[in-house]
Amino acid sequence: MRSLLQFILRYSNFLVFMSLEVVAFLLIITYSDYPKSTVLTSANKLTAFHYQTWNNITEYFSLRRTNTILADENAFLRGRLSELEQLQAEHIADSVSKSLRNIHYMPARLIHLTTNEQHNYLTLNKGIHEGIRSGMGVRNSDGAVGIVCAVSEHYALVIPIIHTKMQLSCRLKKNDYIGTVHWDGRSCTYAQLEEIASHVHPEQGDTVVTSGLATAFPAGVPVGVVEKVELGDGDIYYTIRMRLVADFKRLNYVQVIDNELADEQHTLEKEWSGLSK
Amino acid sequence: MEWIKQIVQYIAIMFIQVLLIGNLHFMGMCHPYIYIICLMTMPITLSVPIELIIGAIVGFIMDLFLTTPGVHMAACTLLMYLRRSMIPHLVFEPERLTGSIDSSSLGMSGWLQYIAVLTLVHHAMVQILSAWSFHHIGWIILSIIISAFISLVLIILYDLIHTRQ
Repeated sequence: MRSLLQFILRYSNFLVFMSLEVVAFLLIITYSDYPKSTVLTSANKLTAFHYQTWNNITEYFSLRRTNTILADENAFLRGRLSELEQLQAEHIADSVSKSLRNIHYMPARLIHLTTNEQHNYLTLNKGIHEGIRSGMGVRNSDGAVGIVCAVSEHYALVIPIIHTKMQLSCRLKKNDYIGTVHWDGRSCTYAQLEEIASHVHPEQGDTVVTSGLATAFPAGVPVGVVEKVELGDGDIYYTIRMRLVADFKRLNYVQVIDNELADEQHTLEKEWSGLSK
Repeated sequence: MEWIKQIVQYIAIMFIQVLLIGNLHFMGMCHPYIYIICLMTMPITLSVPIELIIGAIVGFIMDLFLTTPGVHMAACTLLMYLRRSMIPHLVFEPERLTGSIDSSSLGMSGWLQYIAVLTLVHHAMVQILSAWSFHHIGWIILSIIISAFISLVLIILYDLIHTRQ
């Protein structure tokens, strides 16, 4: 007993060091996938409050640019609206108008984001209180941004496309072939499109849009533009580098997509996968 | 009063880290962490376990702001541990160091060695842990070197301003 005490006293510094490291590594391992709660992230009350305050100050410096973007978007949407109204007046297709009504957009503002980590996250200024739930898609006026992974009372944490663990089901707009968008952890303006088979012929300049298979995004939200296509000898899949349409460094206002039918689709898919096992 | 001034200064440095330095962009390769100035310049009058715990807490707070649970905590604890074993190699009588550690107390060459080793170790630890794989190891090493270099320049500047006063 005495020798044990002596041992502990003698190596107390090292033991304290090791136990702190163990705690840190436990935290890393538990959170190395997506965070499920906002407690230890930038969306918790304390940190989000600081970011919010800072954002309230810095917001003024980008007002001019934000105004221009919003005005452009308004003009574009007004054009689309009149097109749709015309279309609806011409032939009222019940199924089309019904499926359009299931999706709602909620505006939100970004209060914090990182772009040069491996695991980047965005923090939004809206949470459960405003109707945001985890699993909802997030887009801005250009295209897809990410998916909400955790929500607190008034803030939400979003995994953007530029997160090494993120995978987004997408398709080539021109021929509807489905692939997966994945980020390699380097530049926040580029991502990779994977699982496009060698018999498809993607070309530089092709648009990549969301597939609509998952519930987060409706089909056809722009994600990127193909920049470089490579196919090595004997490869089954192309290596495709694409430029992301969302400019992550200048993100400001985003829309959270609320798909009313998401729960129904999840329940059905869960039941079916349970049966097939 | 001196230590209150010091703590206020440390908090200011952490705010600068979170709000300004975090927004630097250089081809996605630049991750300077200057908040480690707080840990490196801390006087060595406290006992080692308490210093380690302070390091862990500072790292944990940074983790909260940067959404990297555990990563900075592990790196800062290692930094505090190494720091204590480095100082006896750099000065003859470590007992005489009662104030904050800087270029005037360690001597310029000792100070440069001290910050270079600690910054490199800290940055390497943070980047490898946050990547959590050796998939792009060459790229990670390049990123560590660039980030550590930028941090070192900023730390040296801080020290010059601080000791000039």
